[in-house]
Amino acid sequence: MKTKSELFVEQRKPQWKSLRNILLIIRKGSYKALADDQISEFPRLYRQICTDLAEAKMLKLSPDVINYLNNLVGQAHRYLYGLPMIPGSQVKHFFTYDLPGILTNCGKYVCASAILFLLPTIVSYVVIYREPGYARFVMPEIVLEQMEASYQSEINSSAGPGTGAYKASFYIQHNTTIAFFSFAAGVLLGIGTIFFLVYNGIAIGTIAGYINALGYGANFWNFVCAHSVMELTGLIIAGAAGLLLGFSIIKANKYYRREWLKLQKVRILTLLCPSVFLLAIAAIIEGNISPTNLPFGIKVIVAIASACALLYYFVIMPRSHKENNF
Amino acid sequence: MKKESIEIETPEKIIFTYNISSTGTRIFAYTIDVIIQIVVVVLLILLVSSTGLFSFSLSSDGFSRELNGLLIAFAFLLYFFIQWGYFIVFEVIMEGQSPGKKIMKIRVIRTNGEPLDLPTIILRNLLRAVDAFPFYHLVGGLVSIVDSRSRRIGDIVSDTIVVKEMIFNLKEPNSFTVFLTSGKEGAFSFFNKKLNEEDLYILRRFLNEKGHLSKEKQDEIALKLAQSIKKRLQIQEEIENPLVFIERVYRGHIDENKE
Repeated sequence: MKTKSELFVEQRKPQWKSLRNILLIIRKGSYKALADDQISEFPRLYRQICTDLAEAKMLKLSPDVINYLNNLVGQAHRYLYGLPMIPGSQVKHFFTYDLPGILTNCGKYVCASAILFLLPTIVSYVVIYREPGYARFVMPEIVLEQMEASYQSEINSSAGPGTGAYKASFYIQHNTTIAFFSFAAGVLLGIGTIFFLVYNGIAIGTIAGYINALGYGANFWNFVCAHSVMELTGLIIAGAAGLLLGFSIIKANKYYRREWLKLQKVRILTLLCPSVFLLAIAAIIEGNISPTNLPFGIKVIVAIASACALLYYFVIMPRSHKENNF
Repeated sequence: MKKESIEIETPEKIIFTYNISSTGTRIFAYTIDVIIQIVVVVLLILLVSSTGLFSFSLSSDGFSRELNGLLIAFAFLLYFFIQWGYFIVFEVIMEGQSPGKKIMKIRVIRTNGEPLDLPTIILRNLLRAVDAFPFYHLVGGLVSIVDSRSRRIGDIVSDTIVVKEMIFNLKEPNSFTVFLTSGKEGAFSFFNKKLNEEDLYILRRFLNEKGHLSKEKQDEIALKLAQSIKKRLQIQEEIENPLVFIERVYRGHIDENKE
């Protein structure tokens, strides 16, 4: 007479083996290496073994058997429900609908972030412009001296060919890292992001005020003007994403917190996404247009053009999409 | 209280379990990844500096400087990419693993058993900025020591968990490993005495967890257990294989309870 465990294992072992063979093939190569009948067999076998596992647990069979089935189910589950491919149509949809619409969708956070960033900038600019002596309470003197030295003389583009590219890529690395930090700090219930926004605002305002008070204003605006729109917008949007992240953790509405975060995940990252693109564009301008001795007028045009482009892509385009839908 | 395993419910409403990776294993995996990143960055710096010297010493004409500038630009971009994209790219193409995680045989999964998707991977890796504060994932490490499922902040927010990889080359259960008999079949139905729930619990724990022990340790404990069972059940026969004996006794009790 045989025991239940023995019968169980003996009867179902062939199926376990064939599932294991399929997994072995997928593990070695890819799904493409499977034979046609194996592909159709895979889900069926997987489901069969799921029930086997449940049954084995219910009958309290030997730990060996349960462990084996558990591993088999785990492996098959991972392959069957693996990382889904992203179809091209979805990418197009993302760039024509989701991405442009996100700023108006998260308008509250963008406004909050803009205020948190721009208000300290303006206040510190005005204060330092009137009393440049206060600058050394805010920024270390070495930084101020460096800034003074770099804006003392007019921009000379004798740096030569090839510098634009590496300056641009340096700015991409540097500014995006700052943006990511101020986003990620939002996980501390948004407080980290608020700190970064206010801190960066004060730093930028102080330096701008200090340089202008010393009388190098013309050089300063000549350098900063062209890329400023893209760069500041990029930083503000990264801050908005950080605030959204923090607020999603604080208030979960009617959901459990983890469910709510799962729902918000895509929204948060979509909001972060434009800041990466804007900072990349800003860096290219900052590397190739800002440090050249092009006429100031052209740089202003670049700034206005980028503002118009932002306005079109993030405000006008989503609105027209909405109208078309109705 | 630290949890050792996590139950995943499949769409078929079947529950299976993953063993959760310990913080130590994760630190090792991270160290391997950091070493890989550092090696790549150092190679990058060497490449750029050597070719840079080369082009400047040879001639400072426009073309070679242009080339040099582009090379430095490429190096910066690659550095940026390694800094933020290393884990994202590897966790996408290796489905929840990075080289370090693969070597340490661990993997990222979602706590609810759904497939790992791009937003989840991006979020959990961007939040490294917080976990890595102030250096070497100190905050993340401390959080994962405190957390019951060894998650760092990025894991908690994106609802992921790092588990031990399923063992693929598991020994297939043989009908005989389940109920290998050294003596007569069904001998245990003639026990004079029976083990109580507490004894069975000890046996069950041993059988479940013996995989974590070395072979010698297993045998040592099995021998002790077998001897005390023998005394308790008043069995006269000699025990050939303590491990098999314990399994038989346990199975005998469970099968009997079922019927």
